[in-house]
Amino acid sequence: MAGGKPVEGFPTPSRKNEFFSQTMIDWKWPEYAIPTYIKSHIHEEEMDRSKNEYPLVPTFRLPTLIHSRSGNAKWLYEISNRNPIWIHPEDADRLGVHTGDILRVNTEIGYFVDKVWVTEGMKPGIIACSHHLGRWRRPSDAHGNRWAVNTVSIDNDGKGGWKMSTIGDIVPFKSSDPDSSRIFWSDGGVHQNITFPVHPDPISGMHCWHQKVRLEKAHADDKYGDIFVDTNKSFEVYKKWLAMTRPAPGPNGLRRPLWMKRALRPAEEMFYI
Amino acid sequence: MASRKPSIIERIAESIGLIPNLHKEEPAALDSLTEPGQLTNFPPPEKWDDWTEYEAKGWPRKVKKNYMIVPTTCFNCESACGLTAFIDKDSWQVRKFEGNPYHPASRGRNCAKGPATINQITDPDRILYPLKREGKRGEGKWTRVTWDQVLDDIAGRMRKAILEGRNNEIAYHVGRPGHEGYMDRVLQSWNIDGHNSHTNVCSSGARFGYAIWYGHDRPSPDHANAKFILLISAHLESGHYFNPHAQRIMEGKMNGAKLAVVDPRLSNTASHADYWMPSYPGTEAAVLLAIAKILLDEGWYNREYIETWVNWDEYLKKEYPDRPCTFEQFIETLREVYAEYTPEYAEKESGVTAAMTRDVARGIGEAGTRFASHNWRSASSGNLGGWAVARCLHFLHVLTGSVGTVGGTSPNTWNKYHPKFFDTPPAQTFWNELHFPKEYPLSFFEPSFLLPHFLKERRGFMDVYFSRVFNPVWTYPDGFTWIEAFSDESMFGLHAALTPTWSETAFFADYVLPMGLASERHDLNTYETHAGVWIAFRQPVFREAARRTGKPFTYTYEVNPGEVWEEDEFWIELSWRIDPDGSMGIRKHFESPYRPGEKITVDEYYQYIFENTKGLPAAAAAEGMTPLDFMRKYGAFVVEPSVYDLHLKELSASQMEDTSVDPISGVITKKGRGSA
Repeated sequence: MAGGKPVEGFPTPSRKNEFFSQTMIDWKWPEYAIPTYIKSHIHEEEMDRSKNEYPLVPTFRLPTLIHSRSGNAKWLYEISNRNPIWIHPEDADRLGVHTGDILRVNTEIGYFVDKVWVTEGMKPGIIACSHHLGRWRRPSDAHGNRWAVNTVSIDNDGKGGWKMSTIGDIVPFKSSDPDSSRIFWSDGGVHQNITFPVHPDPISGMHCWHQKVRLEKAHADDKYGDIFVDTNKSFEVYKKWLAMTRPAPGPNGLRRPLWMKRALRPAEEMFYI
Repeated sequence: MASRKPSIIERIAESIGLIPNLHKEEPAALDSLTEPGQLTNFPPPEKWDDWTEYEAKGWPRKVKKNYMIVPTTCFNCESACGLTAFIDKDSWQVRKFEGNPYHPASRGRNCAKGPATINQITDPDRILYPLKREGKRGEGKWTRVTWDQVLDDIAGRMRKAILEGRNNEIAYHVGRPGHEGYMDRVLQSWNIDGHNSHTNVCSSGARFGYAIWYGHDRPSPDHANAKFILLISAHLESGHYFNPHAQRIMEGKMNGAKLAVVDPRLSNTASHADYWMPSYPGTEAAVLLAIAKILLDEGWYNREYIETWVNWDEYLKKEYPDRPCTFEQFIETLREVYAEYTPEYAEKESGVTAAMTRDVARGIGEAGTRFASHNWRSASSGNLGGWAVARCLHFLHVLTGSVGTVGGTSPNTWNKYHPKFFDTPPAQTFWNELHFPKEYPLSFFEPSFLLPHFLKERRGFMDVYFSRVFNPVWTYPDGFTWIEAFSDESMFGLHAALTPTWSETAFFADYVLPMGLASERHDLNTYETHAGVWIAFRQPVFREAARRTGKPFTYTYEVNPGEVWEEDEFWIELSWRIDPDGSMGIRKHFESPYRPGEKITVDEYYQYIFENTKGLPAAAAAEGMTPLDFMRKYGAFVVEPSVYDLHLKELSASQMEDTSVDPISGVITKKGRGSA
């Protein structure tokens, strides 16, 4: 009711904007009953700068590409075909790298080796790397998206250790499209996401993309595009974040608040454990 | 247009061959192919069946090309902007894709990704036939099979699983849906809790922050009419609904709106901002709360809105029962609770100067109800607790009363059409804990990136798994764990990858099933791009061209290249084969509303939706067309030109039947539920 009239309002328990959320209290998060600031897993307090730890922003989009769906569009890869690390000159000086040098970016589960782009367009103390790029195929895989795809070798030690190396750049090729023999770019970028562990937010379930990484100059045998991951460590990080959750049931044995949306909503009786 | 005389420098450069000599002989002006008059951006629709223009690559020869123009929508991001396919009537090939001036969101304008659709349909590496793996998963050996073999194999396996009650072993995992409600209907007809999505690597953080405030899970900013626009990240160049939003952000700026951008990177968006706020990532909520504090301390808040549309009294009663339950007390309490969020504190956390935060806060305060904002991926999807960024951002809308106003920010659902389907199966009677595990009761959408870990823990098994425009091996975190799981047949029984093109995930599938690109498939689109409501029709353009010219066909794959199917027809055919005699109760959900007992066609599916779209039958009749033909011709329809303040919409007498009103809270309840 508003102004004495029955009106639609909002689809919440109070039919209003809920500054105060009883739902958060009922589902064991009373500290978040009202809008709050939550310090991130990559907050400055988490960084040991003496070890060259940095927050990596790996999420920014390029206006010309779309995730991994545009690898079959030659015009788009002609425009955008690599994803260097954006780094401020002060940080580049500190690390002793120049534009085009390679850097080893250590995540919690492995590392990737990428070139740097030194730019004042990046906030000091933060680095960023766009996604979309670093597509790959192994020599045994079918040809596809050759405008965008590096050829890589993948070695698995059978114990969770995975090593990927770029063994072939993007090259011109003969096809029904004469443009395929005119490819002038060779660099297809580096696959960063595969070196990230899962970071499920204990409340929203969102994967928290930003990474605390440790930067170091490339090792002597490091090559551009090298990747290493230990999936045992991935599993450990998964368990660490899983432990932050406060599981169902909520009130009345519910799996989830009834009022809140759920994708492909099941019959109501299924909401009760 | 009169040709310009070459400059001296141009003439010298031409004479020594530095640049091509274009002035040897001035070519006569080309004959105009249209009536003299004002220049137009687009061919007029009455000429779309027969349009002649000069071939750009034919210049300076005067090569004329004759086209049929068919509208469809782009599938290279989530915006579904309008495209028009120019089909060369001689070669029966698409020559190019341009914009569709009748599309209400893109209005004829596209980004680079729209016209690049032509690259995708002519890609020499595209997959044209269904493939089945040989040897071990991921070994890279494939054999061409027939669609009949594919459909019978998968349908048989699904039939067995459903008959044995293993409904939770079937899942459809989608990257970009691109359609409206189609799959929910299909999955519920199978009675499976089998929807898994990409949302929790994308937007669920922001969605939760909005939903906990007002039930709706996304913002729909009215940028064009705003006086102040605050963007968390680079929405002008790359946000969700990038092209439609970019147009309207620029419109807002041209009308005097100020733009503030929070981003640690000097993005193209930040470079167009009046205020670039380069925050340390993850500290955005601190800045937003500092803005909230300024709005409260300096009296910029909208009392009328807050008093009516915020549950402030519930807050005081439950958290401060000893205080008087008055609005003034609420504001006092807020000022006390948020006292620590000074602009100086925000500066210490974020690096954004206190002076800039003050300026932005006052700009927002002055804009009042004309304050628009957006926050989609970025901060909310990057950080532990990132959902709080969206929550603190919406707090500013609540304080300024700019929720659902002209120039404000509306709930997404107000600007999205909800189509009526010919048949709605009942909700499924399963809950799949691989999709909604107990640990994440509030998870907004499925924590889908945890699936391989859940399978490693043996929480369940995927007997039939469809990946569709979905590439977790590459796009998701921890791709090697996905490779390990996909390679293991004790985790994934059968994996069918529905995709137009090869992907790192398709390499590890059992079937690779080529599905149409933007101009080779049907979909209904409707998105919250601005303060109106619209629908658009993605259609296979050769199918429509064949229909217009009377060429025979039954299914879309007959007019697509190779044996490329569209998903709509695939799901109808698959469902029919799961339950050929109707005994499982599935088949009836795929029977035509116009021909009882017969299998529905994709034309009938959309015919029904368009016949039941508000205002569309009348608009079509005015042009002497059926609603379906109207959509085939124009590709889009405006359902509502503008929508604001829907929360104030009065409930009808029939909605008020069997309801009771809580005398204290004023909440109207229907039959014991909080539904009205």
